[in-house]
Amino acid sequence: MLIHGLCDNYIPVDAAKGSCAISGQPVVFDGESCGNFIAAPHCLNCKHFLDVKTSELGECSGFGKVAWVYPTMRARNCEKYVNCKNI
Amino acid sequence: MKISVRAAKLREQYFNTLSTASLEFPYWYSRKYDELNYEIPVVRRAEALKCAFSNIPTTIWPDELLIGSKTADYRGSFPMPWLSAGYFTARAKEFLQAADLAEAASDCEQFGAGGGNVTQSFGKVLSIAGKFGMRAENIPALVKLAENWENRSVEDLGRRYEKIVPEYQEKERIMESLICMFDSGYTLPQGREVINYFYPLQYGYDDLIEHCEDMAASVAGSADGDGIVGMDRLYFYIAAKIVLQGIQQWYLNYAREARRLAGKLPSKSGELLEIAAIMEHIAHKPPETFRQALQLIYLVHIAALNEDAISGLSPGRIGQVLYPYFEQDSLSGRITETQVIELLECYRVKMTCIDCFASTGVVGGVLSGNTFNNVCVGGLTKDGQSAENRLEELIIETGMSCQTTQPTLTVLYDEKLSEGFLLKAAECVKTGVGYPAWVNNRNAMDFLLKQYGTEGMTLEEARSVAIGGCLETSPCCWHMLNLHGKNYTIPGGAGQPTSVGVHFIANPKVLELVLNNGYDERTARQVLQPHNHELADYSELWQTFCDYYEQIVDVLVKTNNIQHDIWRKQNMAVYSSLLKPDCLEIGQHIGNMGYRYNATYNVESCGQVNTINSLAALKKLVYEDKKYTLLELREAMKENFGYMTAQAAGNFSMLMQKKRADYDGRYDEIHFNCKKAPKFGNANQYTDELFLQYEQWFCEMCRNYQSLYAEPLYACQISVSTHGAQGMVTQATPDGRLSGTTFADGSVSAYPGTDTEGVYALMTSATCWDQPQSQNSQLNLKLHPTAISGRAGTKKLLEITRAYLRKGGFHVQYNVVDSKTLLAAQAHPEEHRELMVRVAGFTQYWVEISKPIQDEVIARTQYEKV
Repeated sequence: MLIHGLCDNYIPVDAAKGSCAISGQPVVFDGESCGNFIAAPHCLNCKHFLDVKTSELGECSGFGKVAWVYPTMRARNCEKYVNCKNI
Repeated sequence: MKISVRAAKLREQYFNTLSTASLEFPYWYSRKYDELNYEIPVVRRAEALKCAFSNIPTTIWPDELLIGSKTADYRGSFPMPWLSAGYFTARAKEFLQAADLAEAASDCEQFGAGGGNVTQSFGKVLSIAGKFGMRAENIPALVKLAENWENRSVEDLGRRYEKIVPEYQEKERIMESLICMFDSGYTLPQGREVINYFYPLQYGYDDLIEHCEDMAASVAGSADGDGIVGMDRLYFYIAAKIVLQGIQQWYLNYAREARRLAGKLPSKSGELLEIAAIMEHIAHKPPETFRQALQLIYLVHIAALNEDAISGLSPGRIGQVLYPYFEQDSLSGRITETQVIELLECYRVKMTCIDCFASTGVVGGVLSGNTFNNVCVGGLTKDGQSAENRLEELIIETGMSCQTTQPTLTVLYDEKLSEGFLLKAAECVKTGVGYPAWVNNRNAMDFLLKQYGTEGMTLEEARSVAIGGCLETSPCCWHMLNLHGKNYTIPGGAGQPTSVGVHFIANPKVLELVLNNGYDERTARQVLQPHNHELADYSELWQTFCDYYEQIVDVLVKTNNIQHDIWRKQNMAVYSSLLKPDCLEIGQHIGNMGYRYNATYNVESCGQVNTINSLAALKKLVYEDKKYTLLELREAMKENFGYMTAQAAGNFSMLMQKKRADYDGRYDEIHFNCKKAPKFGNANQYTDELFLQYEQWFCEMCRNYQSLYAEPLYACQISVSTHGAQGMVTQATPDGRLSGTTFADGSVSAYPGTDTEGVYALMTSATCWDQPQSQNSQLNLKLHPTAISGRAGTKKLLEITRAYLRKGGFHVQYNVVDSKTLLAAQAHPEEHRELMVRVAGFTQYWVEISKPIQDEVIARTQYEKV
């Protein structure tokens, strides 16, 4: 299920809720998103993200040396972020 | 005056927001730090900070005029495992299991009780320390980060070296018994100080970076007569430049986000593009307008708070700092007072959103979740004239129209302030918001001259004083700010953090140890070596109390010095350092004593009044009247005078306590006489003499100890919320107080219900000693609103205040509230989300303070008439 909290239009307020930049309405993080869903720039949507199947964490290869990373990290300001989900 | 529509919306959002912890900052900080294990420590830390600032999310919320926040969340904060990782590693398994449980849960719309406190996990949100919510899917990363810092955090490293202090085991027992509330070196190593905004305001970041580059080149390779830290200047300038570049990038990220949102929201694009332009300007250049300056000082503040775990970083006298911009914008017609008020209201909401993530005992037990961002108004100019101005009046007005907990306000009361200004402040108090507090400006100056004279404090410089944190008198200085060709003298902080050192010794608990020969019943530990004195007379009792106290301070000073020394070597402030004089001038950070004033470490105490009342009861009942033996009294206290414990009774004040079902009444008489013994706060010579003796000893005793900077410590006498936590672990006391109940708040507030002779008698007792010997004293009064109603009531309030301060009182603050309202709020918190009360040096939302403190505020003596 695509959820509000992982949408590019989601403006976080706290751990449970935020608002939608387009509708201006409050939304729940885990609530089902509408048809306008665009994947937000989180690490799991980056081409440098490596899914490590044995762990809940992943790896980032964006800065040369591979380092662990967590999939839901907000990465809009990461200079190496390259979206691979909304192409 | 009514709150603006914009600020009302933003404040409403605050009321519906949960405290939220996130991980972007610690992730990027840790990743970069680990990459640079070859680097000079200060440069390594600077690179880590730059990386974190450059990468953290930059949320802009709808309707904001002022933007920026610690994290992506409205009320966000984050852990700093490089300071202390033990809490998380110790609970790693528990956290991970809870994350699994949360995954299985489905109802994600149940929010925790207690305002924004996430007291329980729900849905996919995990409660951390009963306060912060964190997304369950981020918990594995939290555990990974904490494990990454294990054995090398300031706490872990400090502990390793602390153990070399011969009395270390004694220290552990002192902490375990809660005679001392907490270590400061890895919990809140900075704060309780006044920030300084001058350099970014005057020069802007491009010029500051250029200055750092020039200075680095000029000092490279030269010790210039200082063989110990002379060479360190190069690394500090390099580090400062790196951090400033990170801060610039952070601002520019906000600008980019504003432009992105402008593209999505055509109806808001005008405001968003204006925000973008402001951010692009202040990322490089000094501000030119009031709005730019306010935006800049807010972000400077947030950056300092993100650099280290800090509570009580006070903006200081910002009405005077920002006055140049206010004056020139007003005269040129660039801004109206209505627009200034709207901006100041937005500022209040933004400051209220600040949360501090520190260890659980500190945030809940000491701070009550407050962050103590104190704005001072009034005081004197450098040349000794009243410093009040029109902008300060608007700051007070905004405190009334936009009632929020932050920033709290303090009037630096001086006889030179105008009557109109003081009456406006009194009107604000009457609204029931708990601010402004009133501080005696001359006492504050006297304290600074005494404590910082050897570091060069002059009378003119002492006039720049402001309050750090809730009530910590802090050394400041003057700078000449030039705006569009006109010069202004503005104040700002110039000293290291205060309330670092020995954090809150529970005086009644020390007396309990004296009476029990060093043994703590609660932890079943011999905390201190048995004194084996018979305590045959009062003077032996008093001397043993002093001896035990000094023994406690001695070991805590040594161990805390080690913690702070590790902090300054591993985790030194770079951004905060460059803000304060004279770091940029001399090329040294805080750890190398780059600040102008470094004698800021202190000994904090709690429960003074209960101790004095207890000493009075012992003196009278045991030693003079010989009504009871010490043994009899000790037994009665151990049995809690026949009452249930406060925990069992469910109430933490003396109200509504219940006797045990099996109790046969044998301690009734002794309890009656303990309560009847002389009590502080009634202009009673018997207790006032004991109080004077205590203060003379305490203030002098503190000076016998040295901080890691080889400067003398001093007395700090405030309670914050420790009177709740430390009262909970203290047995019944000889003054009749029952086990587990709170102590009296503040330092010269009467114990609830014992001040029977009226407010002036209390003030007479409170001023029986020379208050500028201490960094502060704290008097809290609860007035019924009808006692000061109307215009005549406002004048009456000012007259009481003036009378106290003229007698030499350091500080007084008021709760103007009906106790019935508080009882109703306790019964129905959901109907009182906006209710604020003054606790001890700070105003907090009723629903976010703990039950013991709520009970204590309810129980305080309510003055119906003054």
